[in-house]
Amino acid sequence: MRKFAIPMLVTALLFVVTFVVIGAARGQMTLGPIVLNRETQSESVREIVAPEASVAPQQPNIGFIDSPSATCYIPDPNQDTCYINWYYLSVSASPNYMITMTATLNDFGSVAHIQGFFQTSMYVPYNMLGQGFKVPCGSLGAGGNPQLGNAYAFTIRARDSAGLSSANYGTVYCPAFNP
Amino acid sequence: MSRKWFSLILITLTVTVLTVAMHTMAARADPGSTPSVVAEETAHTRREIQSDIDSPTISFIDSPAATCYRASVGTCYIEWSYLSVSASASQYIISMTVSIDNRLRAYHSGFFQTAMYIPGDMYAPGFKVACGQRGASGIPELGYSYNYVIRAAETGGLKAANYGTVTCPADKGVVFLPFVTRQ
Repeated sequence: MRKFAIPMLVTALLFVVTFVVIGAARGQMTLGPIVLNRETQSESVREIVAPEASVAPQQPNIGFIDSPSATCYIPDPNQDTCYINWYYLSVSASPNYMITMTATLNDFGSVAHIQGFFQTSMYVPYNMLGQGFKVPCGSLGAGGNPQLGNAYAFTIRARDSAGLSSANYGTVYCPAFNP
Repeated sequence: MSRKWFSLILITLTVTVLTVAMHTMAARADPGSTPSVVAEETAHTRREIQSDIDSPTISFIDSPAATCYRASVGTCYIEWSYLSVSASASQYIISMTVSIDNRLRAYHSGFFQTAMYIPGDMYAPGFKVACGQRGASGIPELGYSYNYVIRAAETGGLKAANYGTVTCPADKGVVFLPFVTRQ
């Protein structure tokens, strides 16, 4: 009996170790959203995200969102009113369809929502957003830069029909209101 | 004993003086310490590129057709046809700013972009300024003059700037009264 006890104990121990290792490996697989591509430049970040690892393709069809020249300007220097706009917002997911694109000023919430209509790309020029989004300019140094006014963080998100999403995170500084 | 200490102090002093002299010579020989400037000038305008290297490759800023127009009595607007600048190879544009009479009026942040193009109507109707009376800037028939500076910077540390002046139409102070008919 004692002759069998030691091999059985060793076998049981091996089983336990194997299951623990398998469990640890499965635990490392992310069940939530997974970032497929990410780039950073100073305060700006852009990324492409899959909802979960199981649907993440090797090569995502959705691209980075183009949101060049985030602009904040003060039309009238005697009023604490600035406008934020982008030269354009553009994203493509061909051959998948674009479902939505949303621009958000983090302090104010969503400011623009664009819905796709059987389209594989989406292009929104600045003049589709009117004069831009009205915000307070703020006093000198209000946003952390001593020569500028308020700073506004923004997020632009786009989602395609394959469930992939792309997002831009940035900050735009406004000129200070200096009456 | 005192001679020993004296020798030690003398050696320390000599080493210190030699080190300082070497650092001074090295600093003078460093060509990167003087920024180079490429500039072009006309009567009232100047554009330049500043950098720490000998061959700057950020472009000049394009800011054609600086315009001041009188939209209504006392209210003028300044605008440009467009503003445009390109970064040097493999660099991104960080920002471009517009200042009028030393007041910052627009700030453009780059977002992973090697060039920046701002069409004039992105500022529509323009930057509001006072028109001024006739001859306010020394030019008969015209109003105030405004100095503007447009600056751009890229990730490689290079900068470009445009300096110019735009003069507004004069305020003639014509007010159209409503036409009222007698009953």
